[in-house]
Amino acid sequence: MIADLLGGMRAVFVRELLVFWRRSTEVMTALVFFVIVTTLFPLAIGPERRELMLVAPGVLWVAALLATTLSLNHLFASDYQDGSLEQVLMSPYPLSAMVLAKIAAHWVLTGLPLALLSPLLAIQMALPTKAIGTLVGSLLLGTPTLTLIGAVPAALTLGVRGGGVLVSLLVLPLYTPVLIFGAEAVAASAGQGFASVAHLSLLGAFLALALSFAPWASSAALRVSLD
Amino acid sequence: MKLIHKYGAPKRFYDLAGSMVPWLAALTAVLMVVGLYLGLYWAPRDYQQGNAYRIMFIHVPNAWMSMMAYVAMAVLAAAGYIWNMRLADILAKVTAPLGASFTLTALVTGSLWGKPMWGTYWVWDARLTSELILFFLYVGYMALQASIDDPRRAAHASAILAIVGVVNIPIIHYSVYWWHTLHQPASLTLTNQPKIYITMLIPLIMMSLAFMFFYLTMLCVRARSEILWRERNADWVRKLVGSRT
Amino acid sequence: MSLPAFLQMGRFTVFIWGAYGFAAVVVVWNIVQPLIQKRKVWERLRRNLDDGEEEIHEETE
Repeated sequence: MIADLLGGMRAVFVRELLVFWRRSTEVMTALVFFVIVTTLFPLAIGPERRELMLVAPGVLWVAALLATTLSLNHLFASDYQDGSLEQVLMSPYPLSAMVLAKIAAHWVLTGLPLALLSPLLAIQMALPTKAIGTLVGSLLLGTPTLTLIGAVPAALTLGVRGGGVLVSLLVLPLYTPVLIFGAEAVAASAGQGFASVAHLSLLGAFLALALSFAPWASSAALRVSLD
Repeated sequence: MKLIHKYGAPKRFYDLAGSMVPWLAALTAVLMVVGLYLGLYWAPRDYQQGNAYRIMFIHVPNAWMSMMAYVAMAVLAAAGYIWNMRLADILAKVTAPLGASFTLTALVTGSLWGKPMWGTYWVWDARLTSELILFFLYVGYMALQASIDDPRRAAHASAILAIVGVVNIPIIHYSVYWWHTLHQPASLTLTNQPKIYITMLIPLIMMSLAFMFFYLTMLCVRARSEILWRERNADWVRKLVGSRT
Repeated sequence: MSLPAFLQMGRFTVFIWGAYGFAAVVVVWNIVQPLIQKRKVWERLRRNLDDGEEEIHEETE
């Protein structure tokens, strides 16, 4: 039974990876957005390294958050348009498990590359080298949480007019705790506050919470949208 | 459960709310007048803040009501979603604009209080910041309601959003408080009032009750219009409209 | 205490009356808007009744 379920989840996961991979421009959009936004900041603030270092944790985290928000529109939309979402709804497996597999695939193609790319941008933003590890770690813990939380509004706004902008309006207030602790963790290890371990473990706690609630909530949301 | 369905029927609520509105309105008016009299005239001025502390009598009740209204909205929306109660859907929907206006008032009065206290209109104080985020949550809820045409789907979708929001609110709240204490000396907050005296507490309670009954009054008024419109094809509405032309 | 003395709240007059004034505006708006809404709904329902039994597909707003 459980092996069966895991098999189903793996099938969805692999299928999603393949599908997302084929639409790689959409995947790249979020990443490119992340790069461009962080590049714009030094142009606006000025090349002074000390000033850049001061705002770097916040800038990198806000950019990552916006890039994740941007990518949420691709999470369910195309499956909704071509009708394959309704098939998932009718599959013998629990919908929340399928949604979780979908979110996981989405994260592997958006959040993970974003976290892996972040050291480069951190150097650009003059973040001290000792903080780069924390930056990657906080993004690895934080971006899946963002995708999980964002899946709920993404599912709610399917087929709704002005869906794209609406998603960001619904999701950004919910992102504040992750943003606070993510940016704080980086700032802390850059030597502006307390040790970063506490922040990282709180980010981990948020991830665990989101993992247990979000798949359930977003599958309920999908049922409402496809009703 | 059957009882709730029976008394939860929109028509019954329409009649009940109709007979209650005058009483609720009168009670609100009395509490408001007494509260304003006590707060603006009876209570002595504070030796530290002068008269500026009197802003508290509208800021604090609105801040309380903004949070209570959100919780009420989420509970009502959840009831509507789980048990398919149309009345709860309606009440949740009409709570949102009221809650949003409480939040807005709390924000504006908070910043007007901030100017004499901190010398600036906006400080990223923990309470003001979480009020601001609460305001965004209300705006999101109303935007989602407004963008879905089918009332049933709109109710269910926004119910899920409200539930997710209400689970998040304590987390947001404590994150913001924690963030604030990390970045600012604690002495600069609105929460760190000098000791609250009984002469401040009485007007504060009066004004809080006034705003609570104001909420209940306007909830009834708004819900009645919404019920009439949603049940426009029901026999009882046709009869009611027919008898009043 | 005379009225001018009451209205003069010391150094912070503008802020105190500004805050109370804003709250008053919001409260009044919260009373007026639902009443306008109510009248609109009744007007539509009356028109609906005159037009006969057919269903209407308008929005509330």
